[in-house]
Parts: sequence; C-alpha cells; structure tokens
Amino acid sequence: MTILSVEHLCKRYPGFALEDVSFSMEQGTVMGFIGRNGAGKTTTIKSILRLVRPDSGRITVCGMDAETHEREIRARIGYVSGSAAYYPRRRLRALTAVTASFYPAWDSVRCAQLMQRFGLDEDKRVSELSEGMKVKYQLALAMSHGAELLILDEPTSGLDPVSRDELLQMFVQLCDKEGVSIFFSTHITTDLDACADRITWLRDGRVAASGPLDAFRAEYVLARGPEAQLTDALRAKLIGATVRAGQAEGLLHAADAPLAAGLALQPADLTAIMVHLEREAEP
Amino acid sequence: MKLLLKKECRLVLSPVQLLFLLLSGLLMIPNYPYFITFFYTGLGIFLMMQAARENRDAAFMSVLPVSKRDMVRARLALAALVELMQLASCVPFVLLRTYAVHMQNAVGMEANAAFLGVGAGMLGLFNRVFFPLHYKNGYDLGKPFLAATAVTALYMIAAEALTHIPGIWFSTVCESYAPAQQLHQLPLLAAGLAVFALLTLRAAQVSARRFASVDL
Repeated sequence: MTILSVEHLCKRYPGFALEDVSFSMEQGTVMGFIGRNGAGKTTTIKSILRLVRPDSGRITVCGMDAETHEREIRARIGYVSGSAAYYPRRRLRALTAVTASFYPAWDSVRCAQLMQRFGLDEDKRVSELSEGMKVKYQLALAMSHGAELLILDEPTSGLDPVSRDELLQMFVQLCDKEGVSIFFSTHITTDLDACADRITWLRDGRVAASGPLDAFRAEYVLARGPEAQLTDALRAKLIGATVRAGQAEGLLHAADAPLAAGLALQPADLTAIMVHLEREAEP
Repeated sequence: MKLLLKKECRLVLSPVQLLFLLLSGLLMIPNYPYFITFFYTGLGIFLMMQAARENRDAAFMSVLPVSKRDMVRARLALAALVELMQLASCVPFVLLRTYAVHMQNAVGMEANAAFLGVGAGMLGLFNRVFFPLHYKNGYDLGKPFLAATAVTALYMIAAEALTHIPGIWFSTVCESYAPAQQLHQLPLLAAGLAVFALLTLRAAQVSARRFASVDL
C-alpha cells in the first residue's frame, strides 16, 4: 500500500522553485529524502503537511488527499523537525498533556517509556534541553499517538553519534516490527546507509533520483588511483573527479567500470555518490 | 474546537491578560473616558499574540491534528472570550454606579448599559481590523495593532461626540444612569453585542481564509 505519494508538485518562490517533484513510498518502509541545503527538502515536507500551499501537484497521505484531509492526515502522522523549539519556558509535562489531549489513541504508557528511554525529565523546561534532546522529545510525542507515517525533517542534525545510532536503530525497529513508515529528510547521508530502503534525491528543486537505495548504490563505483592511469576515455566518464598529489578519484557508472584499468574500484556509498554528482553538476 | 480552545487557554492566555480584566475598575473613576478600558483589552490581546508568536506557537500547532483554519478560529475564539470577560467584568461596576455610587461623568459617556453596548461594538471593530491584517502573513503585529487602535479611537470619538449633541436619543437616554432609563438602553446593548458577534465572526472567516494560503 502506498502511504505517501507526491505527484508533479510545483512551488515557486522568487529565486527558487520546486519543479515537478514526484515520488512515492510504501507502507512499512524507510525513505531517505536527501539533497543539499536549499534543494527544497523542507519545502516539500511543508507542502505534504499543508504548511506551504503548493502551486500545483497532488499529494496523498494514507490514501487521503492532503488538500482536503489536512486534519485527518495530521492525526495519522508524526512530524519531527530538527530545528523546531516551541514554548521554551514551558515544562515538558504541560506540553505533553496538551499534545495528548488531541489524540484519542494516545498511549501514555509508551510516552512515559520513551521519555525514560531518551532520558527526558518531564519537569524540565524546553529551554533546558539540548538541541538533540529537543528532537528526542518531539520523537517521543510523535511515537506516542500511533503515527502510521513519521515525517522527520533533519532529525539527526543536532545529535551525537551514539544518540544518532540509537535513533536509527529505533527507526528500523519501528519499521520492521510495527509497520511504521518513515520519511526521513537529511543531508547526513551516512544515516540512510544504515536504515533506508529507498531514497529520493532532490537537486535544485527537482528529483534527481528516486528508487531503491541498493539499486541506486549499485549504479556507481568509486575509482581511485594514479593520475597517470587516466586515459582520455576514462577522464570523460569520471564524475566529479578530483586530483590531489597525483592521485585521482572519481565516480563511475558501474557500466563504465571496465574503462578504469589500473585504478582501484570500490562500492560507492550514498555520500560519495551525492558528493561526486553534485560536484559534477556545479558550473 | 473545544480542544483547541482549551489548548489556547493553557498555553496562549497569559495571567497578564487576566490582570487586565481588573482594569474594568476604571469605571469607578468619577470623571474618565471609560472606553479606555477597552483599549487596554486590545493591548492585552496584542501582547498575547506577541507572546504566542515568540513562543513559536505555529510550530507547535503544526504537529497537532488541526488545520490552519482551525488555528485561526481558536485564536479568535480566545480573543472573543477575553473580550466578553472584560465586558462581563464591567457589569458589577456599572451596577455600582447605577445603584450605589451616583456620579455624573464630566469627560465622557456614563458607565451604563448603553456604554457596554457601544463598548462591545468597539471590541468587535478591533477584531475586524486587527486579526485579518495580522493573518495576512501570520507574523506582523505592530501595524495591525496600530490600525485597529486608530479605527477604534475614531469610533470612540464618534460615540463620545454623539453624547454631546443635544436632543438626540444618544445624548438623552444613553447618557443616563437611572435604572428606568437604562432599560431603554438595552436595545443598544443587544445591538452592540450583535455587532460584536458579527464583526468577530467575519474577522475569523477572513483571517482563516488568509492564513490558509500563508506559507509557514
């Protein structure tokens, strides 16, 4: 079942535009939503949440049209933004109570467990939390009302490596054991190597790629070796190549790998693919 | 809406706003332009909106299962509640002025039933100007407040001026604090409350429509 579908989404601002953005994700999967800062990730997410009104396009969440079922959709999703901090002088207890009142399916036992697991003290004020703890608090709220789809906008940006790993493991568990779907926007692409099933890559407001992560990674290899080994044919095929101290490095389409005789080839991870493709695209 | 209003009362309504209700006591000053009381109500609403903005209430609301239109309606409902509480808190002082402390106000309209009706209209006018201007972008507060204050000031001046035109109903019947005369003022009180309701509802409609198309 398709839990999230974005079709031909367009939103134009002076100096920036989302153009014909389309992708979809299935229930019980993790989709990584990647792109550079300013690529349009947050605008896309805000369009899904109807915080931004798209110029055109259609978005469906849990089978419902986002334009006409704003309230119903929000009841079935959880939204966590890495940068959001609200009511800094309020205690977590008060904000939790208000949030809980809006969800008939609120699970207070689970909420208490998550607060304990994340080391969150309900008597603390929001302003007393670190950035990472604020994200954890939002996650605890989102996961306590039985959200079917978690929309996470840069949730791991402010977290230390251990907390990040803990969260990523939790995402995998939520997905595998509870069938929760996770739409995960980030520019820390190594996080997605650990948990994403599919990725959608946004570049300058357009979808550069959308599909299974493994298939996307299998499309490329990373080539490294002495610059002297680069033939003209190979130079033409290398993507985002750099040369330093006589050593060349670049991305290759897997089909072009036979051209790289004399260079060491290794599987490319998401970070390497994104960095090289972005570098290649720069004017 | 009930849940939202509850949330507004718990997170947005500040004690300062409630303290402003005590300013209904201004009606006990012997000579005073009593409509100033309602300017303080408007100021309290402005401060309340400012606090909500600085607390990033919109970001908090964006995680809750409510539409942007609902957010606006709830805020207007809270403002209307505060304003009705202000009017209600004026009533004991009007009764005191009517039955216990007889004083003729030399500088403005008497504190009577007609005053409450005109005051209700004034608060409705404040809502009609302030909220739709604010929800054009959901951020600006200073200019909407200045505009609403200017319009309500003109309204107040017009009302006060009417009390000085001899021989008209507004200056003869509405300037009395005698209980029998105040009975004749009740239609004005009812009309004022109706105007308040209509203007506030219209403000909510326009504000909700505008905010729905704002990009947060």
